[in-house]
Amino acid sequence: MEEIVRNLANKIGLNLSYDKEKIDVIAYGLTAIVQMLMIFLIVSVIGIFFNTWFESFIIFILVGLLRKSTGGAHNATFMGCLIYSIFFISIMALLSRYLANDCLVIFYAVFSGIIFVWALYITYKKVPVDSPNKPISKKTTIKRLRRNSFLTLVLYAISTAILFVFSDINIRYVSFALSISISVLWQTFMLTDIGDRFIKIIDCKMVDF
Amino acid sequence: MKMKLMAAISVIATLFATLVASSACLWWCYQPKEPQSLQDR
Repeated sequence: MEEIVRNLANKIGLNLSYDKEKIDVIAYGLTAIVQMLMIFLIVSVIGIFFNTWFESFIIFILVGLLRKSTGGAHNATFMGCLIYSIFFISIMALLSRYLANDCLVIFYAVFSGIIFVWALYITYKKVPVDSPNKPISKKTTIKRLRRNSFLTLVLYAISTAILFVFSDINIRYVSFALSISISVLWQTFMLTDIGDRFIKIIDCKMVDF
Repeated sequence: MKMKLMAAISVIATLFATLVASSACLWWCYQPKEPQSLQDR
């Protein structure tokens, strides 16, 4: 898939007489756009089919936004990431949607509280978790990413708390709150060494096409 | 027309690349090698 994006960038660069660096930037931007669109479209179709579109959308956006500042474990290939993302977003959305129960709101609220405390601790210890393809060593960048990570987590925690408080209005709010908590749980797991090993195991089982 | 479309795609792709350059990773879990001109280590 990355080859197709690269060929498209080369074609654009050749027609518009761009240099190699400019073509690289276009290929990088196109990879991001294609990756986001493909995950979003496939997850949306699965979400509409299982009636979990909102939960899928929440997880897709919130994990994506949190990862922008925290970093985390990465797949080795574009296709690996695509399959992995679609599979786990759909599973997490199904769990959020169908585990939601108005009798268990207190239990889920406590569970979410524990997740956020753990996430803040791991963020304090590890963020930013960079990758070989994008190493981060500049102190100002590290400081900015850490600050953004904490702000994002606090914002997510407040949103989750509000959704739990108003869950008596609509039971769906519990599944939205669970979606946020599960997003944070998943992304925090991806910051740990076990998460990194988990991704590597998935990569071993996948082929790029 | 084709050239205009290509120019539009290149502008959008460049804008997107610049936007994601300031973050720790691209989006979800695949990070291609970042172009030299976008690097801010």
